[in-house]
Amino acid sequence: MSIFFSKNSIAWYFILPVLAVHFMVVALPSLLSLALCLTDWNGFGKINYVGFENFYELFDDRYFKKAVWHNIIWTCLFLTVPIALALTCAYLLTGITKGQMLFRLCFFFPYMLASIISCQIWKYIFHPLYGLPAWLNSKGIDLIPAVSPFTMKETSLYAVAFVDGWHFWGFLVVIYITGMYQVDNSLYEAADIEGATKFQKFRFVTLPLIRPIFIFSIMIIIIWSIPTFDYVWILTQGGPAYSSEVLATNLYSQAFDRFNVGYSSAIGTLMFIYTIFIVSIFGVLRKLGWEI
Amino acid sequence: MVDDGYWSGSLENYYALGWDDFHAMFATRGAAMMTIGTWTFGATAAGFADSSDEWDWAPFPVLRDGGADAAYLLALGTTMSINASSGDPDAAAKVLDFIFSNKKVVLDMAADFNFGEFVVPLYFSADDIREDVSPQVKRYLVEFAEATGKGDYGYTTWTFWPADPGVHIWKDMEVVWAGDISVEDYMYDHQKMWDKARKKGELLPVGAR
Repeated sequence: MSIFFSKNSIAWYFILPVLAVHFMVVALPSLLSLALCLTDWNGFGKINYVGFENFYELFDDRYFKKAVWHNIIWTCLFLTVPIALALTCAYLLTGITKGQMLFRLCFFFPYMLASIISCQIWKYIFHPLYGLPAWLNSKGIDLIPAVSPFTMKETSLYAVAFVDGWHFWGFLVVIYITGMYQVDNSLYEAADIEGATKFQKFRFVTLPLIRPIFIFSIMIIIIWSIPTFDYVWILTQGGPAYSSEVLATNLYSQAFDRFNVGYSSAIGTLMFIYTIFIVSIFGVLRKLGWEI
Repeated sequence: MVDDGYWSGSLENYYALGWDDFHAMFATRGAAMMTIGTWTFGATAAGFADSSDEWDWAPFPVLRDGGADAAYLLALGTTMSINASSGDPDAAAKVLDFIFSNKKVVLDMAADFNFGEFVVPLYFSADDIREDVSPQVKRYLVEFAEATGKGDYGYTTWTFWPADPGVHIWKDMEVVWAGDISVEDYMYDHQKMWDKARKKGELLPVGAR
């Protein structure tokens, strides 16, 4: 009897309601989705088992392959541009004593905006009739053509990534700067005595000491890049001509436009397997003693 | 037409402009015409409400060589159906009969909203229609009734086609416009989707004419 009222058991009782909600909202639909990937269910009709047919079709689907490629580009973009910008800005900000909070607020502000608002702002900035380029053109300044980059197949993916990156990089600045403030100041003083340049101090003092936060940011970027959806959907819905299609928009469209729920579950399953693979890599690295 | 700039000036602008944009352009002489269905009548009439300009509609011209009579792209855009497992199908049928045989309800809707839908299979003559209905909507209702009365109507993809080819027909057309795939590849994909839908029994039945 006492086992039911031990300290450990009571902790479980408090967690139980959350676990129950998570089971219903996350675990159960995920398990069902995993099961549905082997069926041809359309969302409301009869469920037929089709084995691995959805996966064979997926590997032959030119738009799925395009979406995979776009997700790879997306991940690479986010692993480079926002990280480089955020590291530079965070490092420069640590040297500013006056007005630093103002900078931090400015950089972080886009992160606080709802995605729909960020997207509408950028959409209107590049609107072909009422946007900034159109206005400049009307004043005789033809610096940028009055064409929305979101609707050109050559630029749409990069334009959406730019908007998402614009919203996201301030978050990185904040977590990097938090890590940088934890670096012992005496190390910088020692580096100064050795005559280290600002870059050398960054490379050999700051970067190694914020490594756990840095690796964490890489991990969340890789993981968050897989289900990226909202910015793409609001700005381009994956178009034009699938030029900005990513896995999540492909999945959504298959499930809710085309009613290929079994097929879209197969896409979701592959995304899930990929996520597990990435998390496992970081888990193994941690086991190997990496400070991440 | 797309290459000649008839669609918002360019394909990129066509993708960028929304409902409000092209209605505003049409009402303020920014666009000469809109290629759109009758569901726009209400918004178009509202756009011209404070303008001395006037608007009107015309059936879509036939673009093939040699031409033909103008095509009325009439369609049954909506289906009101009775579920096979309905507990009381007769009562449901009565409701549908009421809606589709009540000229007054339909005409009041047309008059109050400048809205031209839900009129099949009723027949209207010019005398049926209230004085305050806009002349454009009035002409549409009469000509629509004549055309459908002769059986000259088709079926829209968004109601009657299976979901997969129904989306493919408009979404993947963008890929052809973009020059990424050939028309033959596009049609091949489309045929494949139809074959699959047919095999799965996803084709919707259409009513007898």
